[in-house]
Amino acid sequence: MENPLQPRSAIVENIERETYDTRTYAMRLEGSGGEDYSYLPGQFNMVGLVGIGEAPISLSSCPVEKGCFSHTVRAVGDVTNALDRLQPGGRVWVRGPYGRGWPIEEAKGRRILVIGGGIGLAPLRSAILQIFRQRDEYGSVEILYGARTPGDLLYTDEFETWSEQRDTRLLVTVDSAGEDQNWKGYVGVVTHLIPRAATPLRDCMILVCGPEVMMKFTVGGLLPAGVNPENIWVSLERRMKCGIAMCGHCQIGPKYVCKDGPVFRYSEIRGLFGMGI
Amino acid sequence: MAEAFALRKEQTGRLFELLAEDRLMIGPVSQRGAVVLGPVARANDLVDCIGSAATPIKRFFHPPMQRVFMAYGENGRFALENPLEPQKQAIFGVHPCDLHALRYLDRALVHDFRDPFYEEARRKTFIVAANCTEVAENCHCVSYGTGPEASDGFDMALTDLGDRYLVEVGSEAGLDVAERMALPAAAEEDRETKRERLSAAAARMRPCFDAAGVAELLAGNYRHLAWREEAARCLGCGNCAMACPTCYCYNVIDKIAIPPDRVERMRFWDVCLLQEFAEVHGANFRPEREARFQQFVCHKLVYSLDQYGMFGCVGCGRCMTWCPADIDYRETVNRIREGQ
Repeated sequence: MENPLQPRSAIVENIERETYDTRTYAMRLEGSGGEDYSYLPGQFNMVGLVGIGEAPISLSSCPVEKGCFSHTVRAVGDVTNALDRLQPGGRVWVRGPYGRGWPIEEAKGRRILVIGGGIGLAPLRSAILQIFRQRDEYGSVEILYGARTPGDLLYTDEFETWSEQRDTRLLVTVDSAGEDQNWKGYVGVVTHLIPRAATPLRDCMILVCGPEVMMKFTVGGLLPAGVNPENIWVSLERRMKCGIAMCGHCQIGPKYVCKDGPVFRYSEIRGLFGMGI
Repeated sequence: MAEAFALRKEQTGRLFELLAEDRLMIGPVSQRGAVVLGPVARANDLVDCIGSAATPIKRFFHPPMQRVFMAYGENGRFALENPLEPQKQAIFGVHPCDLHALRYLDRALVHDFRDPFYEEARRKTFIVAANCTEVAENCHCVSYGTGPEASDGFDMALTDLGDRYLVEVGSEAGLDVAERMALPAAAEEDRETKRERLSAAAARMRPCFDAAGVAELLAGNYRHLAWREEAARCLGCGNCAMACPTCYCYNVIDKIAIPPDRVERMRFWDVCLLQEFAEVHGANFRPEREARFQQFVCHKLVYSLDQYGMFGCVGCGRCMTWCPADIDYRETVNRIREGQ
């Protein structure tokens, strides 16, 4: 009897501290076939510990690298706090990859605008890194990223490399610089960066991920600017207990976020978005 | 036309014994004043079940609490083991509405992904359906065309004709049992009596709810005040979803032994009417009871059609029978339809 709820064990090979509460875990499946593990940017795994539970966590690594994969995790719940206590060499349990990822094929030849909020940059990073690996196949890339404070920004040590890519621009903002005297960047929510984008909004693919309220305002800013809802893609977060469209928690109207998403074309869900259904 | 036989009521014990040879027997029994579906030791313990038993049929295929796997080990090193497979069972007295509920679960739990526990239980279950010659207060299968007659999805279907049953067989296994019992073929007049009794039952159902166009109606009225007003009476207890034969949602917990060398991952029924159902860190996507009540009703009447090509309601009436606040979803729909 094949049991889709039975996870496989994975060894955490490396742990990178991103912020005070967020780490990136690079892992590799144990046992035969582990080297063949592959996924698409925007997909997720159910990641867990035996005795604690599982949580849906997006893949944040470059999918071109086979076998090894990463999750960037903020320690906020039972599972994520248990992950936070792990050391390199520790063991986790993984099922996946699940869901529909970013439209990375459809985006070929197009200009790309990435808009991320907070931990929402994690699944976007997977797409960004894949695009950079196949840089010539895409048009211009512009990344708008916002976090609460400078201390909440993820992947800061990669920003320089990202900006140095051909025809690529990165704009970063924080909601509040707080005590940070060294912060020289923008202050304000990420939607304030949209008017500063160099990418022509009507002629690009827009990938958005962040807290639902941030995505709501982002879409609310894009549509009046004449953006076609077909060209906006959002990645949704929902409670999930199975990842395989059975436990019912992630439903939004008729959609299962775990199977039909988590990445949706905005036009597919515009009637459901932010409706509490 | 399905092959049909006659079964004298005093032969029911023989049918029971035959099926019980290698199966766990389940059927309608009386428990603390209610008729439930549960394990039955003898045919004599079976009772007539008018309307829906308190127990939803899903329980025998998608149990309220089920082991997903066991893990043995320590210090973070565990070996996982699948739980035992479901055993063979026979269920007596399955009403047509519940057969439709199983058709629905067949789509909800077996699709791109397959729930192996459910599939295995389905494969190992012999179903003796009971067509409904009597109806209860909240029965409304006629609204959905899911009763009072079973058309398929059973091994045998019985219709009460007074001193005997008309037995229709719906599978090889059912035919095999009929032949082993050497049941005589049913007379044509028995088929006629069945038709009469079932049309009489259908006519006795309160003709208060028309499901035609209901999906479009509700989809256009997610902001109707009726939702808020009906939800204001809801206690958020979740009885409706527990009793519903098509509600399949589940939650998962890890059960740890002391000392912690054994962990069982358990799944158990969950209910979208509960506060934390759609909660994640820092957000609850349905914080108000209104939204949760609407989810329960609209999943059945709107979203299911997109998801599974059929209504998620089979008209069994359990949600209203077991609601402590007397909420009847048909009244909410009718208010919206009538523009109140």
